[in-house]
Amino acid sequence: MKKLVSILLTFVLAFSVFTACGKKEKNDPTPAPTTPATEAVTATPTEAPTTAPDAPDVKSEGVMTHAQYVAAADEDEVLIECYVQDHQSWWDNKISVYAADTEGGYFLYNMTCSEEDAAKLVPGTKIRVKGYRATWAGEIEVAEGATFEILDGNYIAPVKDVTNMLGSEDIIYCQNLPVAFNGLTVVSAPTYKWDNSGAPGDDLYFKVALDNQVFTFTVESYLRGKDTEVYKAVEALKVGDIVNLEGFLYWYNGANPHITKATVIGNVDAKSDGVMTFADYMGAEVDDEVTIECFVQDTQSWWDGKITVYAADLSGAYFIYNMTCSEEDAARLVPGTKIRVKGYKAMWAGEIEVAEGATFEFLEGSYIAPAVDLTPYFTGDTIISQVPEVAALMNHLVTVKGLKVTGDPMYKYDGSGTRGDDIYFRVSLNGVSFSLVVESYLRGADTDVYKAVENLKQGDIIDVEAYLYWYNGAQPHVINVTVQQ
Amino acid sequence: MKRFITLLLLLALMTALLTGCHGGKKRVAFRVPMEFDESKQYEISFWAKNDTNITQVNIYKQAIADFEALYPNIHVNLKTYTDYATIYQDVITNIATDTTPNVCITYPDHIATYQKGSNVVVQIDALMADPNYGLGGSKLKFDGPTEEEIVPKFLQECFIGDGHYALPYMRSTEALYINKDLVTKLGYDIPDVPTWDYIWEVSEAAMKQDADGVFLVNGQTTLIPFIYKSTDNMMISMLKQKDAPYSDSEGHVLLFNDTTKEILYSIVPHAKSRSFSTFKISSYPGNYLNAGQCIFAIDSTAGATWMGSNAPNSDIHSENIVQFETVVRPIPQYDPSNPYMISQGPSLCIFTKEDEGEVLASWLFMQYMLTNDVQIAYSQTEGYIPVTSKAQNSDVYQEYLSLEGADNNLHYDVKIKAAKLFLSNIDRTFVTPVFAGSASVREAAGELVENVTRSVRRKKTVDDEFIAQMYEDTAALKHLDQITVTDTKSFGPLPKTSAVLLVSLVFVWTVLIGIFIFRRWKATQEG
Repeated sequence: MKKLVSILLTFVLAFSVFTACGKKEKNDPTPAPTTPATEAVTATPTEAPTTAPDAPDVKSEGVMTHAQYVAAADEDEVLIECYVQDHQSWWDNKISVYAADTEGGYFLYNMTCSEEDAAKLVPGTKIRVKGYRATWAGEIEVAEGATFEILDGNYIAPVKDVTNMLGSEDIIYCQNLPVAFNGLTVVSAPTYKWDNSGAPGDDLYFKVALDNQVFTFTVESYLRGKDTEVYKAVEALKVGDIVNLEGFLYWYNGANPHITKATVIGNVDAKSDGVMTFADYMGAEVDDEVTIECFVQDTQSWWDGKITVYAADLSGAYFIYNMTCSEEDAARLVPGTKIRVKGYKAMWAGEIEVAEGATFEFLEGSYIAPAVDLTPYFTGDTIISQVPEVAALMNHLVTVKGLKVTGDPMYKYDGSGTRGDDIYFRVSLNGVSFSLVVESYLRGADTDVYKAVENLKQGDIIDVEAYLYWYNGAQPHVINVTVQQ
Repeated sequence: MKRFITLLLLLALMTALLTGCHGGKKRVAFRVPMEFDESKQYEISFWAKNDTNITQVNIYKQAIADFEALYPNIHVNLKTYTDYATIYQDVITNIATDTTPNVCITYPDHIATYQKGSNVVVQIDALMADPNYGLGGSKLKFDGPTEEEIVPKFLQECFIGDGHYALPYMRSTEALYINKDLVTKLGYDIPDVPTWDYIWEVSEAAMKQDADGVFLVNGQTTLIPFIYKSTDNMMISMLKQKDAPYSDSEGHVLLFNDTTKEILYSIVPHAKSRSFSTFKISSYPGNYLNAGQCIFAIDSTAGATWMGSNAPNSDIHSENIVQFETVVRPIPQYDPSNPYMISQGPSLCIFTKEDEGEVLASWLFMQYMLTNDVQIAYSQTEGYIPVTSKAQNSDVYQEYLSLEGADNNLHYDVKIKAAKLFLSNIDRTFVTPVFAGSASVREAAGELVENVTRSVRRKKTVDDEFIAQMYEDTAALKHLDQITVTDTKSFGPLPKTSAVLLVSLVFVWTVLIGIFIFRRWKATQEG
């Protein structure tokens, strides 16, 4: 008998395992994405689903798929089924919900909701929402006043690491999904409200940088109020902090994530033992031995075992002249790369630099310094090089807007050169006139900026981006020119 | 039998010809054509150097236009450079692809390296001597100089190994530009020929500062009393003045010697006090001179337009320029009664091409660059001097010199003073031996000065051990151990072609003698 029972139990167990496998295959919580956005996401989710899905990709009859919802026109009536991921605070029978299904994210703005029902909208809850589609500053949402009903089912969308998608067009396909960003650098201190006109408890805004792009992130106070961990963590952020962030990919004229988690993992200005701060470096005497840690911003062309580097840390910028470097290593000196440089301080025609022959090693870390706008310093009767604030930005990436081209571009400073040589051109702003240079070792004849400058005409109004090189005064090395329309 | 002998001779001849054919792709030496074909179109390229000076570029363009008017079948394409090093690199690159320019501004040092290939640069002795198209030739359409009218010393500088491979184009030397006001303030006079001791003494005297770090002599916090632009020239000139070894024409590198060490030690205290610096360490001497932050600036006479309060090419902001009197003197000397100064400046060479007419067209253009109009116009752009006595003695040039100081542009006094300094010291100029690798030896000479100066500033100890190591490192860095020494005292191994020919001749003669003996023996037997 026991034998028979054992055989029967074994049979049942085997059968149940077989059916469980079939169910799992059918209801895989992370099926192959169908939209371009999710196809582009290659990083491993930072957090596995905490709850087994209940057929989250299956829609009831008459319910739109995510693709159909996104493709609908504004003001079209929409009927969707999705899973609550989070929500803002309930108020006056309204609640804004961050939701998702396996295909994408949703934002349900000020959905009609009783306080009692609001309490039921815990993460994972499946709801059917009926309302109208809207777009607000690029954010696709179900407009205010939508109604909903709670369904059976539960699904928590995985958090997707979209760090590498920041700045790309594809990131819009992750709109409203839970996302993560790793290794971003804080480039502006948090402000209460976007213009710092608020007070504790208001939304927190802060800027972070990845490579050469800057983004604005928000702690939405209705989502995470002033007593929450993330609100306090972001309040405490300092410029230069390197952070890992999580949140929902809200949209406001571009990606404007609503952050729910912030973790500081380091600081750009942290220096190893025995390494100078920027202030130490600037205070060193010419010919003193210097050891600095900095981040490559740009390089001139490698030649004969040497490379000239424009570098920065949080406090300032460096010019490392003809640093000893193999061709192989030169290829690794991409913008953002952290390096430790050992050499001697020099000053050449006013330019403070690390002298020829410095050595370096690669370090972990990445940082791109944001450009500083010099435009406000261009006032009449000013020699721009003598403005202390400008001199302090030596070698830094700067922008100047609204410059008027006052002389035809010339190969070499007096026109004696030929195509491929440095290009010099005169500009003025508010009566301040000076020369700009396209340094051909930095941006050669085949680059866009070189060609753009070749085509400048007197009278053109331009915005420029440049490294504030010094030769007997400010002589910026231009890397970008935009002619104003 | 005669047929047999003929066959043997023919065989020997063919053997010699075959060995001659080996490597037949080599460029062949140039021969002057009997006539220049004016019905054929020639397009030649001219790679020129200018001192970042648009006037010089315009002079090139004008010369080309005037030349093309005389020779409508020759079109000259100009490509300008602002430094010799880039021209040199470009030429080296183009030798490999056989795309060298036709005419090129160059230094003899560079030609020696170009000539590591076979017949890359045209040896121009035959061209120079050609009665029709040579210097002063009867069929030239312009009034070019004869060989005798080229300053012999400058022409000699273009003699490399076995002949002339270039013509001089412009010549300059180095000059000492002095802020007389500051020297006077320090209580010194300026000698006609300053010595090194004088320069060091005045420079050290200028280093007194007040408690705030302000230099008493100029009232500024910045002062480098003595700045040398080209430390290559500095070391080379010092060695020459001391009659010390540097290198020889066979390619022996003699730079690393005890006199060099002695010179380096003499620099140490002034590098330490920072009364001395270099272009590589501190930037252009003219920048400091014009700002009243330098007393003695040594730069080329071809840099004279950058020197002085009224310099037309000053590089610093006008509000930083200080008014002072600029005095021009020869570079410092160890023996002022027997001064030496370097001769430098661009020369012209032409590259070998398959079409001999194209080479002749290039030669005509090269000669045209030595005509008075071009020579005088170009020399006036800086403190250069024309390379021909024909131009130097012309009324136009003499009038130019006489108008010294008439204005601050064409007749800028410092520039003309620099030119006059050179004109009166041509016999005191010298050049260094030229061989493949001589450019690297020159760089090494400068590196020694730079390294010692930097090291002292960086608080390192410069002693015998340091210098020995620096000699070793510099030689390695500049690959001086790879320079091929040509020992002119022995003839070296016989060329392969010659060896084969000689062996063939011996063989033929042996056979002929054998036949002769055999026939005599046979006749004796028959008799």
